[in-house]
Amino acid sequence: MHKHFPKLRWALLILGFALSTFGVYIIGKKFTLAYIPVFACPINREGIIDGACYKLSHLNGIFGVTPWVDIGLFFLGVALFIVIFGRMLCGFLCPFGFIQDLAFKLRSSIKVRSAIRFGDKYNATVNLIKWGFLFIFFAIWVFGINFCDICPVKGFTPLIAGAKTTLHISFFVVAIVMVGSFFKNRFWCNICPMGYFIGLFHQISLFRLKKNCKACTECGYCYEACPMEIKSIYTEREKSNITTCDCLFCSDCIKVCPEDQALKITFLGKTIYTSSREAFFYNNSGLRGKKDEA
Amino acid sequence: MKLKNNQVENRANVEEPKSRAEKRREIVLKNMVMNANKMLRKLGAQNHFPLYGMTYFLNLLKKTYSDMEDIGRGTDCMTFGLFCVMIPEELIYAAGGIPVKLCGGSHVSAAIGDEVMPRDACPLVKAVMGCASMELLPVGNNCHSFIVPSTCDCKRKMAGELESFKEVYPLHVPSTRELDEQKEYFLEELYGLLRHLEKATGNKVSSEKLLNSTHEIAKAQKEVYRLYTIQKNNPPVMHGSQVITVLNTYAFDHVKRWTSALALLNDELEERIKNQQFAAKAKMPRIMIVGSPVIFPNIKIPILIEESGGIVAIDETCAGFRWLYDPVVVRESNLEELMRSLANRYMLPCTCPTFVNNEQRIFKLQQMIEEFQIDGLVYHMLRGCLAYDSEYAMVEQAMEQLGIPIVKVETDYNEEDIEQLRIRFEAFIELIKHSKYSRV
Repeated sequence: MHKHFPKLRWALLILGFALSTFGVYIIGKKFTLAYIPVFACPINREGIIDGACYKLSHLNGIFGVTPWVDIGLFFLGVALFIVIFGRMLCGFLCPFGFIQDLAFKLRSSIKVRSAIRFGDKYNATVNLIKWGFLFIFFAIWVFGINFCDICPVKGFTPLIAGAKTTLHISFFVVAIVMVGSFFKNRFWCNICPMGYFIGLFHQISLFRLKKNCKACTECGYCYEACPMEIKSIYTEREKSNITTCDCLFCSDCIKVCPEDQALKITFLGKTIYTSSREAFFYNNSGLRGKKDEA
Repeated sequence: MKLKNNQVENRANVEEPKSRAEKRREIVLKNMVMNANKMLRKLGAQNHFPLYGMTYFLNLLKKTYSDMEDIGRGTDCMTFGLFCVMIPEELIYAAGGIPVKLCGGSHVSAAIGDEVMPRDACPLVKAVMGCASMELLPVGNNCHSFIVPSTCDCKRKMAGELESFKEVYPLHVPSTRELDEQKEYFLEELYGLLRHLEKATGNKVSSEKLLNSTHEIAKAQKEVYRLYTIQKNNPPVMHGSQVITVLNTYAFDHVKRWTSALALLNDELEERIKNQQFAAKAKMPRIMIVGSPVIFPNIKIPILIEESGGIVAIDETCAGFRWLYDPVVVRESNLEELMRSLANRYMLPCTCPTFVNNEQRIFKLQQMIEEFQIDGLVYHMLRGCLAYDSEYAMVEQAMEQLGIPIVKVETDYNEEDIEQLRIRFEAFIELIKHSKYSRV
């Protein structure tokens, strides 16, 4: 089963993308009770469930305008999503994450050139930008403007579903993010305020990324594969829980880990996906289907 | 009558004037062959049940050390002499060459190398220098060039000294690896090596070629991992000294042939596990050899341990499992990403003490002790190997915490200290047995 987990992830990503972009076409109904904390743009009316991004970035628009019960329900829903799934949503459901994954996959399949990595040097800068975006996301309405004005997602999912949007400044952000995610794995996720907001609660989320420090050989493939460039994943030698605010649970690190049981994703202590040498050779070294040649 | 004539003719051939150096070389060569043959006999005579899969490996060593053959011969491929475990062999196969690993293990050539290298240099380097200066082994003589990583001090100076015999490409390996810049630096070094190989062979390395060679080596690593899992079996189906020999031979043949031979051996061993044909008893103390490499024909340490009643369950040396244990990840098939993966694989997981910070070795040892149910450690240290010597304290401390006994043997390639070593090993194994049975 662990061999095929990466495929399962792609299937879920496609499903998440399809439902949150044209779910109403498929299911015929819209869920309005809860809001999912990912960038599923509510301008697009065809999504099966709306993203919480709009309301979170328009805090002035909900307090005092909508009834308190609705506000309570809204936050309860978001909190439940955060506690149960955490940033698993980013890695497995986020429609914008899927688009970025697709762009990155396209680059590698047409062999454009080596991917870009920020590396140690720019980590601090990226961190700063991330906090900046977090501030913009929650508090920029104080200055009369809004995160939606620069949101890159506005240029993707609504357009794909056929909704009308106006881009303005957002156009440049869209262009940058498009080019960026072509060269850098999950470019936007590195600075995404919504995801980072979820990540801040990783201590109480139920999904965890765990590591058996003894089994780790520090080969660093996990760090190479990690779209968020979390270095502690291979340098950590004491803690078994290595979940950080940045971890998307994309499970790429587990896919490239050659050691049995060295890395795993757990839900309430139960292992969902773990690394193994067998799965490593199956998924990474290109030996699949080449067995008979020898 | 005819026969006599022949003899006369032969004598006439022999009596052609020979220089002193030539005569000396002949004697040295004879001794080396004798030494190698003796070890091969010892290795071959170990099993109760003959192990058919071993034949290829023993033959390969016989060809290399006593029949003076060379895999590069007869093919158009250039051979490149490598040292240490930090050079990606994938690159050499991709450029159309064949890598051979020339880290020497013969005490005869080490004695010759003693004249060139300082007294305190390690015997491995002396053996290499001896082989090169007297042109003893055709495996080394036929190489286009030597690729020497600057790992420890001895290897670094060896690279310089070797230049008087053959073209040498020194590859700089950073001694720290915490920052990304150091990895990038090593990557640049590998690109330099790639250019050297392309120039030497005249072939351009494309991403397809590199991908193919990576696949070949991945297959070998898959088989090695299979052997690794087979060795976890208690009681063992194969003697540890033989396992080390098998891994040693990877140095001398094309990876394709070697892999298929190892696959056959693995099949045979798995069959033996099914049939319960074990090489030793389950209760015997399981020993792990860590430290300096055990290189044929210097197999005396594992053989002595086995003769004293222990099992060499596994080794953590650079001529053994460390060499082929870590696989290369292929995430994307373009050249840049493949090169990155190679740089990653050949620098980061390596537990060579030449790196400034090498705590990962302790974790690796702990993991292996757990996986292989190890009862005791033999810290093999070649005289003059400062890197391993300085890490002994760290390993000893870690073993103390785990309650695993450890013995440090400081030895040379020569066989004069065999009896002293035997006494130490017997005492060590006796001690383990005592504590093992009193515990139960």
